[in-house]
Amino acid sequence: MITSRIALALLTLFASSTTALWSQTVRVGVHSVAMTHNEVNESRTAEGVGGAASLMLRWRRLGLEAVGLRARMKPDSADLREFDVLQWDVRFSFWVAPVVAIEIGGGARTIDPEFAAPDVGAIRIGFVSEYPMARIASVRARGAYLVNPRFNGGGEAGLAVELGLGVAVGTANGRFRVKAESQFQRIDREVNSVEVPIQVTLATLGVELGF
Amino acid sequence: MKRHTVLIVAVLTLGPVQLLEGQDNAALRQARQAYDALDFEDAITAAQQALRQGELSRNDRIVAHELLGFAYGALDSARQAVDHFRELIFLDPDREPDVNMVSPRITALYASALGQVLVVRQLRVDSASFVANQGGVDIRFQLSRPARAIARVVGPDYDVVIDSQLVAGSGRFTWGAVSPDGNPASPGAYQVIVTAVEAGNEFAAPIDVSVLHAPVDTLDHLTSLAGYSELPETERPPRNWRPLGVAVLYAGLSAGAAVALEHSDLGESKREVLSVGALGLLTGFIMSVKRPDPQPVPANIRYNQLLRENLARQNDQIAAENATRRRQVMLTIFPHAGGDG
Repeated sequence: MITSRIALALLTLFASSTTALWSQTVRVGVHSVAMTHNEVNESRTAEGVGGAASLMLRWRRLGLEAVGLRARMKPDSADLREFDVLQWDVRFSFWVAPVVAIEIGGGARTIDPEFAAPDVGAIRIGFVSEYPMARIASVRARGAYLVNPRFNGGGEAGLAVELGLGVAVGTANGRFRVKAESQFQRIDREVNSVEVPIQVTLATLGVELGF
Repeated sequence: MKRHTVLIVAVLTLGPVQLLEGQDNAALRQARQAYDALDFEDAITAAQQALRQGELSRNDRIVAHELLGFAYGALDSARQAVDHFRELIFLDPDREPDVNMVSPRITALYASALGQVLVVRQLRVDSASFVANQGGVDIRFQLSRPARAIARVVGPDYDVVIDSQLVAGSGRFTWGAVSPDGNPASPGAYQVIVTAVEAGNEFAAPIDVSVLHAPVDTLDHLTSLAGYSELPETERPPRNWRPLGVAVLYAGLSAGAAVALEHSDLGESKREVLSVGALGLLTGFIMSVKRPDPQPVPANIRYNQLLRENLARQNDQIAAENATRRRQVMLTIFPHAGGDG
């Protein structure tokens, strides 16, 4: 339901925009994904690869970034089943300075088959800083606190944070760029006072087209 | 003895008479030959005979009176000499003895005659080109005696009194070549007449001039301002290590935070973060060693903008000036060759 509402909002935004308004502030991209998923202890580690798609809108001080990815995960342990990860993240940003913005958003990670790993959904509040190293390159870092994450298997989280680092190199006119980004997420989940922490790191490498 | 004295005086004091060439009258030719032979009495007789015949052209009459004035002057007959010089002045006010060629006595007699008559002399019109209503052509003249001078121009559908003034010696009028309602005089032939009036005496001297019309030249638009040139709006800054420094800062903070936040029970899983961090450092290094991108120079941009605004303003003024000029007429006025006097 929420997903469909977001999609509808994005569609409305596109429909009402003009080319000039969004000139150089719309980017779509496709990415390859490498992900590591850790849960409970070191033995429950799964690694996998997949693909992602991204959309970024920027208008004056406002920004919107949406990413959806899918990865096929293979556990290190033969006792564990392979599973697919489907993750989406949405971030709204307000640029308080030329290189700093505050971010509010949400995200969810669902696992197929169910309970092969916990599904996670959370609201995030954080910041992002993007600095142009040159006219064609920029580096970006972000950090966020995950507010009250929810799990399909129950439980609650004390510390839940995520960090990100990205670097992009492209053409001077912004039409094309190559982008690499990493994300580190730690959620100290407890179920019935038993610690079942989750740690996910992922890296994406892809291309983006600007309009 | 007296005759010899006269001949010696004449040889010493008289110069050659500047007679006009091509006289057809036999008596006048005879008078001239006699004068050249210093036989002044025969010259006078022949010249008077030529005048009595009454069929002389204006030029021949001029020559006759001049010859008589010189001959009477040579014979010390001042009254007759002045009389004939007066006639000569009326016929040709600009003709006068050459002070380098004739005796002071003759020139004194001529000056005496000149002082007795009222004539307009040395009437000249300068050649000039000017925009109608923005200039004029000078008409210069001399009066033999102080008098009121009136300048009038007559031409096709044009009869205008330019000015009137009291003149002693040299005088000057300026003709704008426009009608009283401000329209430029039509192209064509005109006659400038300067009339001197004093008591009951009056003398008018004409001079022919031509008036031509032409469009007024327009100004070219400017493509640049003389002495000013645009400055480069971008400049390439010197190479620096700032990009690498920024990459180190961002990658270091992210990787450091990831290491610090890594859960001890879940093992090491920061490979992705380190990989992207390494890419960031590599990018920062490349951006540092490559030629920096040109950066805009605000001062130069502002300078160029002011330059362009100034240029546009001047071109606007030129366009307005050209629009005015296209409605104007350039008048060229010049006297006819030999038409003066």
